[in-house]
Amino acid sequence: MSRGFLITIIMSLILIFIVAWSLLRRERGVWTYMLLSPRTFSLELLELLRNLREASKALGKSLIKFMAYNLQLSISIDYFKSDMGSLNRY
Amino acid sequence: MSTSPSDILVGAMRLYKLILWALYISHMGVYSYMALLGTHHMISTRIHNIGLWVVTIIVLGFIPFSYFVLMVALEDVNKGYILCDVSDLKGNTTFLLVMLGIIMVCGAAFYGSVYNNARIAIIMVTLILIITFDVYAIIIPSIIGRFMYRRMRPARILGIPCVDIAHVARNLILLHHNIINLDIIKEEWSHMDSIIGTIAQYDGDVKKNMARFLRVLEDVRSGPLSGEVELVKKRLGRQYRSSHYFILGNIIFLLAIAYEYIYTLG
Repeated sequence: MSRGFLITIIMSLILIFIVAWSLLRRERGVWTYMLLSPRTFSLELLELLRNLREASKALGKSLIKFMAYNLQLSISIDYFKSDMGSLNRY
Repeated sequence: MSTSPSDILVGAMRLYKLILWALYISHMGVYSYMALLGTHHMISTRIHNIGLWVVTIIVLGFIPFSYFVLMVALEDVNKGYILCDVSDLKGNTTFLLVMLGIIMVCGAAFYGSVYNNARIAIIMVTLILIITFDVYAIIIPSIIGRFMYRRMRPARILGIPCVDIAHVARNLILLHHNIINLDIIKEEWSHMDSIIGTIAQYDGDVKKNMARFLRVLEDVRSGPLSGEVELVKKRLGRQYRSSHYFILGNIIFLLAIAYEYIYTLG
C-alpha cells in the first residue's frame, strides 16, 4: 500500500466526519428523558415544569389525533399512536 | 391516479419499506457471502479450533438475527402506522444501519481470523466502525429523511403539509421528554404558532390544549420562576448533550486507522 493511498483514505474519512458533524449539529432535539430531583429543585419549579411538560404532551397528542382523524389513517410519532382502524393498508 | 393526502402518505410508507428492505438485502448479501466463504474455508481446511467453531456458529446466527433487527425497525410500518415525522424515519433507518454495521464488523473480523490475516481484519473492522459511526448513523439516514420529506410534503391538511404538522407535534413531544428542548420551541415558535393557530380554528381539542400550553409557556417565559428555569436548562444541557463523544470517537478511529496503515507500510 502506498503512502498516497493512506493519505487519500484519511482525507476521505475526515471529509465524511465533517459532513456527518454538520448534519449532526442540525439535530438539536434531546430525546433523553429528563430526571429532576425534588431535593435539588424547589417544589414550585418542579410543578411549573410538570405543567409545561403535560401541556406540551397534550397539545402534541391532540395534533396527532387531528391528523389521524382528517387522514383516516393510523399515525405514529415517537411512542404516541393514534389508531383510526384502517391499519395494514399497505 | 388518486392523489389524496392519505394515498400520498401510504405510498411514501411503501417506498420507505422498500428502501429498508433494499438496504437490508444489500448488506446481508455481502455479510452472508463473507460468513459462508469463511465457513467453507474452515470446513475444507479442517481447522481444529473449538473457539473458532463457536464464533462461526455465532456469525452464522447473525443472519437470522438480522431479520429480527429489520422487523424491529419496520415494526410500526408493518403494523400499518404512518410515520409522518421524518425524525422517526431517520431513527428507524439509523437503528437498522447501525445494527447491520455492527454485524458487518463481526463478519469482517471473522473473515480475517479464518484466513489468519489479523492486520487486514483490524483495518477492515476500524474502517467499517468509522463508516457505521458517520455514514450509517448520520449521513444515509439524513439523505433518506430528506428524500421522504419531499415525497410526503404534497400531503396536506388545511393547506399545511402533514410532515410540518408532525414536526410541530414532535417538537411538543420533545419538550415533554426534556425541558432543554424549550430552546427549539422558542426558535421555531412563529412557524409553530401559525400551524397550531390554523388547526385550532377547526379543532376544539387543539384549541383547548393550545390555550393551556400558551398559559403555561407564558408563565415559564416571564413568570417569577423564569430565571430558575434557565438555570435548570443550563444544568440539564451539561448532563444530556454529549456530542463531544462523537468527535472523540472519530478522532480515536482516525488515529487507529492511520497507525494501522503506517504499521502496514513500515
